[in-house]
Formats: sequence, structure tokens, C-alpha cells
Amino acid sequence: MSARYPDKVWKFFREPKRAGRFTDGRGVRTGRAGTPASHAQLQLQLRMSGDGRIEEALFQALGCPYLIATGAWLCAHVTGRRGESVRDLDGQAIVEQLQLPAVKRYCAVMAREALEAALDAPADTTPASAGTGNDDE
Amino acid sequence: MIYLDYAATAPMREDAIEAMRRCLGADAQFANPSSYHAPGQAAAQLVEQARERFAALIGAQPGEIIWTSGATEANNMALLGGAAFHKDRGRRIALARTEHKSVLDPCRQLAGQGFKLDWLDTDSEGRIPPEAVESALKDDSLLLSAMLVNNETGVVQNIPEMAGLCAERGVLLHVDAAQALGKLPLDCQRWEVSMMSFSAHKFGGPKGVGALYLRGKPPVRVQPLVFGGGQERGLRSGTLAVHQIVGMVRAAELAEAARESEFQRLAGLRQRLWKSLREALPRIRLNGSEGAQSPHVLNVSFEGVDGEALRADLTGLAVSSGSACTSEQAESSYVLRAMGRSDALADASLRFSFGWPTTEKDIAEAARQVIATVRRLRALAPDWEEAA
Amino acid sequence: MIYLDHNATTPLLPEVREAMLPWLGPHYGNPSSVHRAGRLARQAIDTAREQVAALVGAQPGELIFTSGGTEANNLALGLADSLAGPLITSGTEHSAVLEPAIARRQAGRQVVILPVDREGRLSPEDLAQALRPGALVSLMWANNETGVIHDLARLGGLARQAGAIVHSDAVQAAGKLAIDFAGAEVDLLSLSAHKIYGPKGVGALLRRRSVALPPMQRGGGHEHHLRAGTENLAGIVGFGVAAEQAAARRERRAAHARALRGQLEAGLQAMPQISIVAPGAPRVDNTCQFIVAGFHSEALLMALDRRDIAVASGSACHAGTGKPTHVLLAMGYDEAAAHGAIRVSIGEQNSSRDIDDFLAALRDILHQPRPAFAAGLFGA
Repeated sequence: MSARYPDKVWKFFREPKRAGRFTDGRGVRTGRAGTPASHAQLQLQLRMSGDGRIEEALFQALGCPYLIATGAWLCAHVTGRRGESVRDLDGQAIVEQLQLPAVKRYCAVMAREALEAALDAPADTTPASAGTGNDDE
Repeated sequence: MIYLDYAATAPMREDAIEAMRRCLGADAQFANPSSYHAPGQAAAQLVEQARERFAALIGAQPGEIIWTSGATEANNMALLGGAAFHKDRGRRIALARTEHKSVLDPCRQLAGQGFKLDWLDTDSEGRIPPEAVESALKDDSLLLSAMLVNNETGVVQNIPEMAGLCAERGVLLHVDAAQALGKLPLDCQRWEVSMMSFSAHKFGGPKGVGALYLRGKPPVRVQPLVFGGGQERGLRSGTLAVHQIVGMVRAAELAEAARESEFQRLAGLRQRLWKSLREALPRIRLNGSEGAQSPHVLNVSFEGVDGEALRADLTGLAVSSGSACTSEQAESSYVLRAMGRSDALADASLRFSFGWPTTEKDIAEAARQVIATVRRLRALAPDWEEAA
Repeated sequence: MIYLDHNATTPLLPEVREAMLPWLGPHYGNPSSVHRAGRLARQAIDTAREQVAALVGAQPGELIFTSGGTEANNLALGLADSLAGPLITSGTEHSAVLEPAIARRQAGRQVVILPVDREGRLSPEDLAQALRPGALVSLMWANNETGVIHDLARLGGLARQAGAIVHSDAVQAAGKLAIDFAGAEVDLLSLSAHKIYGPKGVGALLRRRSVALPPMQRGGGHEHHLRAGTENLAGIVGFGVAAEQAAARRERRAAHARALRGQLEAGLQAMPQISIVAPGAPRVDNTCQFIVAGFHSEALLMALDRRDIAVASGSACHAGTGKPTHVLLAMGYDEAAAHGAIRVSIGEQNSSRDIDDFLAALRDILHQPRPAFAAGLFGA
């Protein structure tokens, strides 16, 4: 419970499902929004089937609870849908879903950017990523 | 909930509550201390006794104490009132960017009235080096304002040294001591400060009361900001809140009596928390000065996390970033930025502050929660592993 | 002790005291802190803001908590510095209005101090003549010494029609008279907690949102950036409860005070040396000021004090200065008469017996051998 955040945002922030990145990068497309300099980053990874359906999505975020919640919401929203059907995701839908206040609308913008970048990215062909996935450091 | 935000405000000491309770009781002295009749005079006597006792604690004479509604008012009075009264002595005011807003804002107001502000640069530990003071003080400098203990970092400035430099040049020295009473020994007379501000609720007294020390010899004067009624020798009109003053002074006496032992105890707690965090978490940074530090504040910046997320996730811990007064705004701590921290580091900072009720168990639990949260958030961040 | 000095200050109501204590003890958060302790404190302040606003028919968002009525008046008068017109006030205002006005006159601002008649009333014609666009008019709702009520509906309306902003010091009116800020012809209104059985050290200024008020105390962004400083938490909570009680008990208190004052004035009228001040003007029910011819009020106060009776001469703030009250001088009384003024202000705990005892004590003192109380002895 938090008096400062909408319940949905709080739940996504405290228990973000689909956080992390794929340990096996094959077939994974990665999109990013934000830069280290802007001090807010969102990464979205999509594993897509041959027919363009998003089988699984993972996110990572450096930012406020709204951004983390946006990442988690985005993953839940796109999973199981066709990539092309979510490409035109309405930013306003995110704002409404997560009750983003005016100063946090950039989270919706970043979500759109990361999604578009991921859909446009080439699928990874390396057998396994160097990262250790969801573990700490 | 573990409360580690004593620099924002502290719980009142039981004895101080009891002293106030007596003033608020049905059979007690509720009269207006400005009233001529016996109950009024009894109330006035309580105020004057409190004045004597408070003066004795800070090395001052009773006539040098003006009661105010808090440190913010005392700082406003010292700066706006002092500058207005002494404007013929000079038009420059020296101060650091790490001062409290209740010093910065009145000074900025003065800047709009033709005063010139000379900024004192601090080093990366937040200390104002004597060279900075020497170069900032000019022929027409009127006033230097410096805080004894910084509210965000706990860094202590060398006030006696500054006082010496000011005295040589005939510059008034105002000291914001809101965070200092009960932590450091205070001696207004010996230090040769011109003005010093106090706040009761930082040392176990009630909110809404404070004091301004105004040096009697040589006399330092201020132009009043509040007129009408002539209380406090005309310098601060308004019915005196007897219970507030009594509560403040009782708390000050208790804080002062426990000062030395509390200093040692809090220094131990602070060291312990810092050590726990440092051993568990790479790439964290202390915002303070080990050589000049009040033990009641530990300020730490954490790389690789967002400040808002950090504070939001610490649901079991009452800590703050920056001062409580600025917490409505999203901007990162201007104090840490003035010490050279990046926006990101200034934002991803926590101020832990300790008080007399703080225990070792509180510290251990706080460390556990902070370590867990920082690890969780770093794991969520896209670039953390690469950067580590 | 018989306490008949409720315009100086009132005893705390037990309900107020009980409401305050938790905020001195277990609930100690800083209302500006974002953690739970801080939010709890913030909520308590919000509740008090609603309670105080409700007493005078205002919106909570229109209220700025201050350290008392004096600060509220000073804050309101600061508006004059950003207006082009004159600062207009009356000669019977509280010194917390008159002194900031005089300080501004000394700083070169145009300040008009309007005369009043023998009953403390202002003439609308005088006001109309002084009005200019961009003026700030400050007129108290009820006078602290005489109890005389200004006709704010008429005077304020006149001023606002002429483009002035109107402030009223309602410190002595709140809780005694029905005040509806929303419908009143004022833009700014000062209140004090300790005059309505609340704690000392807390007050409020109400301001219409259309009024751009410059802050007086800076640094921290509290109270809509109009009044910096950590809030007097327990004091504000106490103010809220006192305001709630004042609203609930207002009519009962007024009727009680009216009955006792009637009794008092009937007794006073039987004493040939005594004349009541402003008997023909509308006055708040609890206040009666009178002049004892040939006597010096300080001597009378002292003699009453020895009998354990607490009354005042004029304002508490003037006590001990040796100067007669400016209010009576402004009403046309000469210094000798003004020196003989006594103010009785009745509170809810007073009884008819208190009034009888007071009258008996006064009769007794007045019948004692004269020299000790002769005005000349005290250097009128």
C-alpha cells in the first residue's frame, strides 16, 4: 500500500513480473528508450514467433516507480499479441491505465519508443547472451 | 516503521511535554504575558525564567534572546531585518549555496533590493574553506551567513574561525544553528557571532517556536519584520506562546545535559550504518565530511538507482532526501549539487538522521532494508551489470 | 480568581488540550515529510484547516496558518507594498495594524488613518473620500478594547466597489459574531486561536485566491509559499478544535455574555463616576469598556488584582507603558479620561456571581479614601 501511487502502479512496482532479460538471446529483439544521461531508461525485449506473435516480453528500467510499472504493464499488454497489432499503442491508454500524472507522461512516451525500437530491431542470432539474466550484478 | 528522520523533526522529550502540559492546564497560567494583572505577570515570569535558562545554555545573556515562531522566522529576521537595519555598513552578503532555504530565500529577496550576494564555494565534503571566506569578504561586505550544522549532510562549519575573519573586517556573522543544539557545544559570547538562529522541534521541543540570539555587546540590531504590540522589545510583536517557550527550554536543557554521551552514542550508530551499507553495496558515496561531522546525520548517494524509486520502496523506513521543506518538489538536493554531486547522485541519495530514541536494532534493520531495496532496483536497471 | 480579561487571552478548552497532546507526543512527524509520519501530520493540518475555515465560512484553500493574529495582520498589510494606491485604516485599529501602517508611512508610503466618532464608528463619507484605485483598506471587524463593530458590509462594499482590496482584523469578532467570508465584503481576514479558547502562538490569514499576496517569511514553500517554516502542529490542531467549538457554541456564548454584560452595565450605571464607552454603537456581547472619572486605571487594576480580579485597561499590549490607549484618544476622549479606562471582557466560564463580586469590589475601591487612587498620583 502506498498513499502516493495508484494501486496498480504500486503493485507493478513492488512485484514487477516480467522483469529482467532473456538469458538465451536467440530470436530476441531488444528496444531501448532513454539514455544514461537522461537518468531514465527503459529496455524492452520481445521473443517473437515465426508468424510475428509476441510470445514473451521482458523489461528492465532505471527510473521512478511509474516507469517501472509502465515497463511491467507494457510486457503484460503485448504478450500474446501480434507485433504489428501493438505497434500503434496509444500513449493515452497507458496514461489512463496507470493514472500517470502530467509530470510522469514521459513514461508512456518511453514505452512507445521502446516498443517501436524492439519491433524494428533485428532478431538476435547469438546463441546465448553474456548477461546473467535476472540475477543481481 | 523505523523513524530515521530526526533532522526533519524529532519527537518531544517527555519532560518537555510535561512542562507544556502544566502551562496548558485548566488551573495553570494561561494568561497573556503582556497583561498587567497577577496571572499575566505570572505568565511573563515563566517566559523570563525560560529566557534566562536558555541564554545560559548557549553562552548568552537573557537580553540577547528574542523568541520567534521557529528557525525560519529567526533566519528571516536576522537576514532581512539585519540587512535593513545595517544597510549603511555595506551592501554585500556572503553565503554558501548549501544553506537552508530559509536563509537562501531571504538573501535572494535582498538581492532583488540591491544587495549583492557573494557565494562561498564549498569543497566536495561540503566544508567552506577559510580561503573562500577571505576572498568573499569585501570592503563593503555587511554580513556573512553560515550554518553550524548542515541539515542535509550534518557537515559542521568552523564558526569560530569564520567569526575571527568576520571580526577582523567588521562583518556581521549570522549562524543558523537549527541543527546544532544538543549536538555540539555552543558559546555565542566566546565565538563572537552576531546572530544565531534556533529551532525547538529539532532537539525535542515543540514545533512552532524558536529563538534568535542578537549580540548585546557590541549591539547588533535588526529592523523588526512584525510590528504591533511591542513584545520582545519591539523586535517581534505578537502574544508570546508561553507553553511553547517553556517546552522549548525544557527540551534544550535535556538535550544539552545529554549532549556529550549522545554525541558518542550517535557517532557509533552512524559509523555502524555506514559500514553495513559500504560492505554490502558497491559504488555508494558518502555525502559528508568525516573530519567535521555531526553524528546525527548520514547522507549517502547510491549509483544505479533512481531516487524516487529508492525512497518509495523503503516503506518501512522514514528517511528523507534533502530537507523536508523541499520534499514537495521533485528536484534533486541543491545542497549535494553544490558539493559537486551529479544530478543523478544528488537525486539517488538518502539522509538518515538519528535521535535520542534511535537504537542499534533500528540501525541494523534500516541497513537490511536499504541493502535489499538498492539490490532490487539495481537488478531492474538495464545497464547495471555492464557498468559494474 | 475572577478572570474578566478574555479579550487578552482565553483559557484553553479541555477538548482543545486533549486534541493537542497526541501531537506533542506520539505523532511528531514533520508535515512536509513524505513518509507516513509526515503524511499523518499533514492530514491533521488539513483537518484543522477545514475546521478553522468553516468557522468563518471560508474555503480551506483560502487559509494560511501563521504564528498568530499579529503576524496575520502584518502579512496582510504587506500587500500594500505591491499596490499602487494608499493604505487606508482607522485610528482605533489594533497596534498590529496601526504599527505596520505607520512603519510604511515612515518609509514614504501614502497612509491614511481615518477618524472615528465618539462611539468608535467610521463615516462612510470619510472612507469614500480617501479611496483611490489600488488602495488597501484595513478595518477591524470588532474592536479589542471597546467591542465596537465596524459595519464591514457597508464600508467594505464601498471600498471594493472603488477597486480597493479590503482586509479585516477579525481576531476579536471570530467566534463572537457570525462571519461568512464567502459573502463578506472583505478579501483578507485575520484570526487568532488564543482568543477563542485555543492555544497561543497560532493564527491564520484568510485570503481570496484572487489576491496576490507577497510572502513575509521565506524559505521552504509552506502554506502555498506564503508563509515558510515548519508548522506549529499541535497549535494548529488545537486551533482547529477551538474553531469547531467556537462555531458550535457561538450563540450560547453570545447569549451568556450578553446576559452578564447587561448585569454588569446595570451595576455600573448606578455608579456616578462611571461612564460606559460607546454604549450606542453595536458591540460584541462580551466586551464592556468604561471610564472611571478621576481615577487612574493602573491603580484600579492593582486594587482589583489584590482582590484576585483580573481585568484590563486597554489592550494587553499597552500594559505597563504608562501611555493611555490610542483607541480612546482616537474616539475623542482626552488623556485624563483615557487614563481612567477599564475593560471587562467576559468568557464562557464567568458566572453572574463573578459580575456581582466584581461590582462589589469596584464599589468598595471607589469608596475608599481618595488619595491613593487619585489620578494625579500616577502622573496622568
